[in-house]
Amino acid sequence: MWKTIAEKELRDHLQSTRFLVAASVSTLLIVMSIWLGITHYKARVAQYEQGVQMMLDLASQQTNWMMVSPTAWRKVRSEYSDDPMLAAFQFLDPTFVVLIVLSLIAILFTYNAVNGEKESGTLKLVFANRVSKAEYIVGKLVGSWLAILAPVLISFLVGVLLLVLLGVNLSASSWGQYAIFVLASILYATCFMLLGVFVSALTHRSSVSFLILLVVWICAVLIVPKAATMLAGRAMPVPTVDEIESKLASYSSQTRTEGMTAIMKRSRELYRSGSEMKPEYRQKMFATLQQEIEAKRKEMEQQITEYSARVYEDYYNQKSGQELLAFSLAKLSPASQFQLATMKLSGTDVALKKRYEDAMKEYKTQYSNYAQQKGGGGGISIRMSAGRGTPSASMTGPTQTKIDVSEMPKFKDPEYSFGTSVVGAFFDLGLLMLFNVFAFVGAFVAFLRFDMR
Amino acid sequence: MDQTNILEAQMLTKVYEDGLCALDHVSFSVKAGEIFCLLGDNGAGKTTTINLFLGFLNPTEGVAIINGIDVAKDPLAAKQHVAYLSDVVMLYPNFTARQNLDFFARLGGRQNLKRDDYYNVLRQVGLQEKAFEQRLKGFSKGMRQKVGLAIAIVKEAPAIILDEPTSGLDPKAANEFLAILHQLRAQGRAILISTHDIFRAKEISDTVGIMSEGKLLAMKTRAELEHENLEKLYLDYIQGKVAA
Repeated sequence: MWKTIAEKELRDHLQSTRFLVAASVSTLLIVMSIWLGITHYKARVAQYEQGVQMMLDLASQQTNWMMVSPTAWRKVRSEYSDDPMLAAFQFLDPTFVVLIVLSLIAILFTYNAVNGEKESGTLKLVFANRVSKAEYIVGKLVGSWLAILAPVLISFLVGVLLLVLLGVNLSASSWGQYAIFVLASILYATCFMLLGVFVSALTHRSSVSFLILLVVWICAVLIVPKAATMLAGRAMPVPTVDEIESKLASYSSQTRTEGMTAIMKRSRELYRSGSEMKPEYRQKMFATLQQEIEAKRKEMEQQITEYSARVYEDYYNQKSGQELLAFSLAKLSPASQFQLATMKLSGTDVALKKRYEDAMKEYKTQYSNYAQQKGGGGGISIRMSAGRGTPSASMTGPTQTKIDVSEMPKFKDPEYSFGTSVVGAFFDLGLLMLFNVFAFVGAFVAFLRFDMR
Repeated sequence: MDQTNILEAQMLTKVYEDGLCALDHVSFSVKAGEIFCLLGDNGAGKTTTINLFLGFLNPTEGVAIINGIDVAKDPLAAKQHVAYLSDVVMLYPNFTARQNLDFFARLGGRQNLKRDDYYNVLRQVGLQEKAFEQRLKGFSKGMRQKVGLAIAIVKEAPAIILDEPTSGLDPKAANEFLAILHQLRAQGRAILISTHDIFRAKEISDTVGIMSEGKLLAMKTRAELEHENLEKLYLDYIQGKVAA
């Protein structure tokens, strides 16, 4: 019997104007966002390749490796370029469309799923037949779910076509991430669909359930994620970078002043005692003093470095704690669960910067070793750029032979495998799944208790 | 005609949790080929009686029986033998008349009906041919009522329960509707109607039950009503001028 009800539910949706409009809008937006993403991606790839080539061209003009100041170009991620059209549509990515539009559509499809049938008298007509409440609600949920699934699948399949036709070469792992993103989108939309049925079975008027769901949606999508960040900021304040730098400058200045005072004091003592010494002893004493000053200077630098490391470690620990609290609170909302899961899936999560910093450190060491090996000396500084920029390189050098850049180590994007992304997103997707289970049980129980008179 | 009771209320009582007695020891029966009208004001207990027959409520006392099955004990089995038409017949506005009929026929256990079978039922209730494949969103109340009646007919249940079936219908549509009920009675269906339309009740009923404040005050057969002014009788009963 549930199949008959599911079939009716699906057909009822498919034949409604509401479905036609909602499905068209969501499909159009998803496809458009994918198309914009592809356009942007291609522009950024070209920009990246151009940047790398410029850097290599400039480097190949040099005669000494020490003169090369390479720029490590970051590969394309989620940022948008300064292209005016893309800037105008920068919010329109598939995650945004799913997060905002699809959840609203799920609510629009189900806010009157149960109480609407009561209002129109069809609920009593249905239950005047040999239909159990369990069969009915299962059929209702399956039918509504299929109705929401249809535009999502169509949109993302068109997205696949666009990716193929516009020549975006995605790796197998990227296709896998795309597939899981689609699954996450379905899971997220399902969550709001179940909430819609749940609230609809709790109330007896569709206008009331619509208002409740609208408030729930605003809280889940707009308020909870931002409130969580604000609350975490209040509960676990983290100093700003300016405050840290000021603190470090103050410590550095104090340490240096104290050190210099100690050195001056020691110098005065030695000068006083040295005035009565024989010249050869005095010279020896000054050499010792020089060594002591150098040792003191190194000690001061060491202290400042260690203090700086401690302060930054504290800062990162506090920041991690704050992020953990903010994300934990935000995860009360399925919108945050979905957003965090998709960020981890695509590798644009908050750890992205750290991954790049680590990769940069590694590259810096690799490059310094290479440059030293080639006779260019150490202390190479590398800057990273994600946007347009001119790689800098000195045009002069001690020898006239130009360097060979063909063997120069290349910066590699930090590894972010399919496995890593899935494992990273697993917890948030699990939470989303759990939310679905609760919403399903809620809808089911609420309907079993629903008074259909 | 078969004289077994298809619908039977035995001392049916419903007291809600807040203490309100919606139905007080009501007993009546409807035989095959008989139309029984429950006549009463709003709050008289007509809809409560119907809800008890459809298993939407459990009785506090007494039993509601459909074709020999106690509704409270086995509601799903009992519902197999009854068709229902509510006072609000919006049905599914995105579906055509035939699609609505198809859905409810399948719920009623009629799985293998063909398009022509549905058309025949829709013809039987007097719906215009051109409306068969039109969506219900453009239908008048009378047209929707006909589709609702087609839904009740297509189930081929021995009992039909109609809740205020003529309310909101224009006189022509109401007359057409009653004509169809006559046909169903002739086919041997037991029909229970709740209404506050005294004139239609007198016109169509084999028995009229007058209800007020949860009590069945009187039952009058067609023969008994032939020379009675039902309106006066009804008012006398509910104003307590006549002892129940």
